Amino acid sequence: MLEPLSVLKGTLDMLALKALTWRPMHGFELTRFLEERSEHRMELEDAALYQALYRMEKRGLVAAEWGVTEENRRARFYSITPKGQRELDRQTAWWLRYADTVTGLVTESPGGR
Amino acid sequence: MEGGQGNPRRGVDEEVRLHIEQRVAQLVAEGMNREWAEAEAWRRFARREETVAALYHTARKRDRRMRMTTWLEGWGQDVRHACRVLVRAPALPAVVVLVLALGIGANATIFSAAYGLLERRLPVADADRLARVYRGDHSPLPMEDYLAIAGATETFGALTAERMIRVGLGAEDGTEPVQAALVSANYFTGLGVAAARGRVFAGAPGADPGAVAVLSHRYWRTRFGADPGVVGRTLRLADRPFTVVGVAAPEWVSSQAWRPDVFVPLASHAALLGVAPGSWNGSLYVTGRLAEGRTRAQALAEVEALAARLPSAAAAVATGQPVRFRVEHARGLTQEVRGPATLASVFLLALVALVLLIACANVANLLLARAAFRTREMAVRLALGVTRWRLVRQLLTESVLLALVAGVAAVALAVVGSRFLASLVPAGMPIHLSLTPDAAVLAFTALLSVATGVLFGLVPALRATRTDVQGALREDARGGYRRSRLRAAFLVAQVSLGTILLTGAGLFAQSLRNARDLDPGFAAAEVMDLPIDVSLRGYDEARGRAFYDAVAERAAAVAGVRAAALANLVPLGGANRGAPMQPAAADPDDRTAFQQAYYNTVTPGYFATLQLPLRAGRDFTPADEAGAAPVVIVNEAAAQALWPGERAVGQVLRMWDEGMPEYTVVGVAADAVYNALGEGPTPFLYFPFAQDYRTDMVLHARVAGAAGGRLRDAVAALDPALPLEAARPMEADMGYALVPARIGAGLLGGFAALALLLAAIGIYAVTAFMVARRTAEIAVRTALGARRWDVLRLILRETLGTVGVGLVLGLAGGAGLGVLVASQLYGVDPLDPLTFTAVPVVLLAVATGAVLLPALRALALDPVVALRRE
Repeated sequence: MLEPLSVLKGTLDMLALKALTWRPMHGFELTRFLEERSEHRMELEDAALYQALYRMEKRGLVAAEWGVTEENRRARFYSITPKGQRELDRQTAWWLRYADTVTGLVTESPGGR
Repeated sequence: MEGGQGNPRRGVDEEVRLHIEQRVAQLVAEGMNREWAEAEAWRRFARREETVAALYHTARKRDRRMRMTTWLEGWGQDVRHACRVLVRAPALPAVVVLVLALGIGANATIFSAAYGLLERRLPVADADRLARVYRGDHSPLPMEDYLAIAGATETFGALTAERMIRVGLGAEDGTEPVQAALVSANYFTGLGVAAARGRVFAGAPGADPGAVAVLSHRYWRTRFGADPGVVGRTLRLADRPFTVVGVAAPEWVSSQAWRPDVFVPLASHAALLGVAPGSWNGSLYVTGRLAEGRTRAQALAEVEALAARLPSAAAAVATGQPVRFRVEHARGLTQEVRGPATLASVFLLALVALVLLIACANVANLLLARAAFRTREMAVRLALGVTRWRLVRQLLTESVLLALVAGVAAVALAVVGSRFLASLVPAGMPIHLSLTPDAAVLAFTALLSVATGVLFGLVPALRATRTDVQGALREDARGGYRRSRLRAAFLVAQVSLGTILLTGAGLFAQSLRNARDLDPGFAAAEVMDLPIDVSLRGYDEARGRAFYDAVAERAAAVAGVRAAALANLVPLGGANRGAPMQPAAADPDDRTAFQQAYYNTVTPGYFATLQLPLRAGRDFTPADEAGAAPVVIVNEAAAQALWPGERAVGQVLRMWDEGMPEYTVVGVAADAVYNALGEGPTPFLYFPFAQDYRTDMVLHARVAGAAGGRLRDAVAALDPALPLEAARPMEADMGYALVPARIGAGLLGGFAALALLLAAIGIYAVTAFMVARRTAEIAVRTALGARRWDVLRLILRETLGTVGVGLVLGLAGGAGLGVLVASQLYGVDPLDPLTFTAVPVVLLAVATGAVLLPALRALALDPVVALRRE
């Protein structure tokens, strides 16, 4: 089994925002969602995720509301705001360009094809 | 609603706990033993303490921001809701805005005037560094003092001087008088006044920049039609050529409250006035710009030190009474007229505050009436869980919004109002009062509007939201009518305040009428006045004397003229001259042995012309000429003051003046009125013109019929180039003394009328509301056969009873006000029966009208229609 990938600095916000486009989630739900979607190839730091959520809430990228989980527990549900959606679009576009460039650079072999 | 609010920590703790529990549960489900699972969960959460602390911090900041946002959004909602509510039923808001605009507008107008009179800075950069210098109490400076101080000062960057004179301006068709400001050569550069056209003149304070003139912007526009070619043109001032070098900046008027047409250098004064520099004892009004970092206290110390070295000061120092100076802020009016202006401002501000209080009581009442209609709306919203504070806030938003709209209208009113105030200054007076609203006035009005909105809105808002929810919802609005004691109290308040104002206006109007009918001690009727000023033509003294002798001779010969004489001042004409005097036998070094007297300079025949009786001795004769023994005629009050119980004729008196001159009394004239109506016995002296030459005199002629035109023609024939106004009745000249009283009575009358109007609106609105709530009751009564008169009497009794209480309170207050201002009333009893009869009659008449209007309308309704409408 490959060593789990640690999340690249700065991409956690994007991942969390993207996840929240599916549906509003509480903190643990969001953690599980990212772990399962990445098929456990990525190791999230739980604390970092909460800090990211709080930060984004303060900036108005996500909104939070107390609700009740399936197990009837009180939990804080996060959802993406229109402002957060715009931020996600921006970050996604940046990431795709970045990844594309890096991929091109590292896959190019000396002497060309 | 945001849960877990209050303490953000609790929310964070709860969230973290849930996360750990769920992680443990997940790990256990995957087959991990519970203890290990817990350790693993916390390992994955990592840096527990640090993270939780960071989360606390962020959560706190987030909550603060959200509270702010909610609050702002709440206000936004309130404002939008208020707009909707007000627009939906615009009739009442319109009346409220009208009433408030009148109240706030009156305040803005008076504030604007008071601010202009007392606080406004001169329109130049860095005006706060300008200071005025006075000699003694608040006197202008003699020219030599000014020049000595201005030449040596270091605390002032520049010390400038200004003085107004009247000169003749030569035009194609004769000569016209202009107001010229004699200004020091450093006046424009020192104060920082720029030229709008051409240039200004400049130089050291006493320097002579030549025969040049700078036009005031206003005079350039009105007299020269803003002709750009005026620079370089030659003006003939007092028959001497002056070159126009420029036009002053449009905003600049004067360093004092004057309105000059042209500015000419101080060095030109001899040429313009026709007297040698030494014999012109004219004083200068001095304004300086403090040097960087210097204070007024430092400037004063320097001025006094410099003045002590002056030759003129030496004599004063010898007598142990060195001349004191004052250095004061250059803002608003000059100090000498500040006292009365401050008093008047305070009085008027109190007056308009009263008017605004009436307006507030009025509006509060209207809103209370409306609140009664909105009881259900409030009850529904309270039942839906809206907090009372929120509702109060929303109602207050409505009232503040109304007040702000009224504030905008009030500013417009203030612009009109201050124009009106400025127009009260007689047109002939070359005085400039800048009373127009500016930024300070706008700020005042905005602040006042908000305060007003809260003031009149709070009680109705608290009342409207103090609802018994279930009761109000259950009860039909119709049945909920209770006679509101609060509403009655507001009505009483406005009626009584209005009554106080009306009473005051009545008393002052009476006083003004009495003043007009007053016997001045001489017979002014049938006397025509013709002011003459030979300095306009630059006559020297010999020519001036010869001219006035000829005037007296010619005037007496004009057909229809029975007697004629010349005098320097007109009694009650608004100007006076005064100096301390003492019996010649008293010690001239003893300052306390002097007492103040006023005096005038007259030609032989003056007493006969005015029919002012001589009680003893003789009139002046041609024998009292320049070289003869100095003589004086005193009035009875002066004779009594100087030589009580003795014969005055033959006595000698001494004036506190240069050289302490002595005069022999040759006659005693009856007392008259000189400076102000209602003044006490005033010692007054008359000097013969031949021994006291003056350049400006007034020709008094007792005429039969319309000899005024012939009189002017006779004088004009002596020098066709001398500017002359038309002859006018002496009584018109005496009117100047009545100007303050007339302005006072006019303003008080205006505000009283305003108060009456407001009270009428208030009574009307309350009655209309009451009648509307009782339409059904009235209809039932009518249907049951009650006569209209009975119903009407019922309504009248209810409202007029309240009005009566206010009236009685107001009359008591008015009596109090009368006693308070008794000293300002001329020949009026503070409890003047006419005023105290007329005021209740007028007020009751207006109140009855205001009640009848809505009442009759209600009665005119068909009972069936009225009942169905319910």
